[in-house]
Amino acid sequence: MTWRSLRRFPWIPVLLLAPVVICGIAGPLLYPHDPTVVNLLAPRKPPAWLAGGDPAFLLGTDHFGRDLLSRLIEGARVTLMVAVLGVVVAAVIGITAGMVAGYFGGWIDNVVMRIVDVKMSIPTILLTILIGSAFGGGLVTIICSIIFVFWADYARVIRGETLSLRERGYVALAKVANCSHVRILLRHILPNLFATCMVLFSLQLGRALIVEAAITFIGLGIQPPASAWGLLIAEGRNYLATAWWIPTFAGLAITMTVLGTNLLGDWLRDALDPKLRQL
Amino acid sequence: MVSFFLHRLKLALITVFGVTLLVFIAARLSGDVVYTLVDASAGQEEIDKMRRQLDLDKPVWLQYISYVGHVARGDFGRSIRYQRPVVEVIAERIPKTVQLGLAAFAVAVSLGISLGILAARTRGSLIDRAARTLAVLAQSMPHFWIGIMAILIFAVILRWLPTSGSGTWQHLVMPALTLATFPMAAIMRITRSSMLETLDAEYVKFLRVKGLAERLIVWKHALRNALIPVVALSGIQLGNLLGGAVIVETVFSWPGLGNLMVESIVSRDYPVIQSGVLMIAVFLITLNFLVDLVFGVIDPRIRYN
Repeated sequence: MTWRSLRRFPWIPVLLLAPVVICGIAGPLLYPHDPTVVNLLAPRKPPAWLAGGDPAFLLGTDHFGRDLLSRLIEGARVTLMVAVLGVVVAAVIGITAGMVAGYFGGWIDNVVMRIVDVKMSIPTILLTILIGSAFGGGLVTIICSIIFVFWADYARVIRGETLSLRERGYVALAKVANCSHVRILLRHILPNLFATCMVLFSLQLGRALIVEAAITFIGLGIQPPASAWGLLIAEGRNYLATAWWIPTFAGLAITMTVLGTNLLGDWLRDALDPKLRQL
Repeated sequence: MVSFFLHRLKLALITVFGVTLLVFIAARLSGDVVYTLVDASAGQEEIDKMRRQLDLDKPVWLQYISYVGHVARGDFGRSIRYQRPVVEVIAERIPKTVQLGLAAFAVAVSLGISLGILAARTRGSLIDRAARTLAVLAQSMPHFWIGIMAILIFAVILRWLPTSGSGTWQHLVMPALTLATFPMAAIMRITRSSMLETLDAEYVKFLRVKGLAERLIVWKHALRNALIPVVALSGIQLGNLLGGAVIVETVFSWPGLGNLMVESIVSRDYPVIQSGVLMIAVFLITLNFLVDLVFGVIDPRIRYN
């Protein structure tokens, strides 16, 4: 690896995201304590470096005496799983819809774009509240909401790109060579959308994490006793005067992750295709 | 111009239709509304009567038409929690949300544009880098966490401002600033890049060659052109602001529309949620329609696109 490529390596996003990803994958191996074990003898212990802190509980404990660090690590698992799953499904639906709308045009395009308009006219959080009112709270609501909110962004952007790719010479030649529509879409158009899809995915992952935390915070998302970062902030809010570390560290975890995905998205955009600046 | 107007109107009306359909589906999925309206002791006969009254015994598409008919006449049903018409419950909360939203919007636009110009003019300097870092950070933090941290610092530790509620101007400071962070960062980023692009334009170079003062070039000539994308983005940010208000009002117990929506989740007051979403969506669709028209008038290129 040359100095040049080392300098171009996205150090900051990778350093921000690596601990989160490791916690997400290897979670149970890393818990200092069982995140679900209640210890009523040690409630709201401050972080280890403060007066009254216990070195056994590095970031302190919550109102039930559960180890905050372990709960944050467990939260990384749930939070990442929900966000990644939601955005991946949204991407598959959105890319398909966008390609079909852009490629065929006509009434299909009209239908897809009008559905996108409907989604765009409702603010994200209100849309998730509406979905929550239909399905009740919980994991399903959260994942459905993320899919519902984010597919439309993909569809809109991918449709625009497909519209211009459709006019390229090699697509016309593929048609002359009697390729089927499916083959043209998959072999000739989809690969050219790769850069856009990667950049969008990275930027949306950050937004999905924030939406997920917000839904959980207002009580429609992940329910206790599970651990999720949004839930820790919601719980910690009630103990702000006596246990500031609960919402503070949970929020820092979210900020660190979202910042990482945002910076990674910016880097990918500049590295893959600087033309994508408007995303 | 007339055909542009009609085309945009058609799109807006189709979107309103789509939103009513979506809200109607959500309302049907959220459970049988009859049981929320009759007493627990009600007999089957009474339930059937109520069902007939609400047209719930008709086919689904007729139910939808009846629903749209009611909504068009301003009848959004009754709030389960307050036992009053939904329109009244929602209307009471609107002024507070407008107050908060306008305050946040004013902060976001004024600070966002001035910071954006400052960053563009000092491109590559420490100020520029600090402003950009701040913008990226602001867009990476959840609203509700910023709010809670603000409460912790300014209300719990420093005791400068009240933790929550509304009434005095002190109550407005934290919610408005919290709500403003995200749109401010977005407006700052776009102002900066748009300003840089404009300052690079041929006519600006000519003004420089002509010897015009840099201050005049920036404020009189470049700013006007650089602001076009900013104004377009500000319209979109107003919608985001309404969404953000839901969270921020909850954090600060600000008695607005957003707070009402979240309370209604807890009390399962679905008519309020669904009508609230519908009203806000129609408001935003109307707003965007008007913004589109204004842009069509200002910039003829949009009309023929």
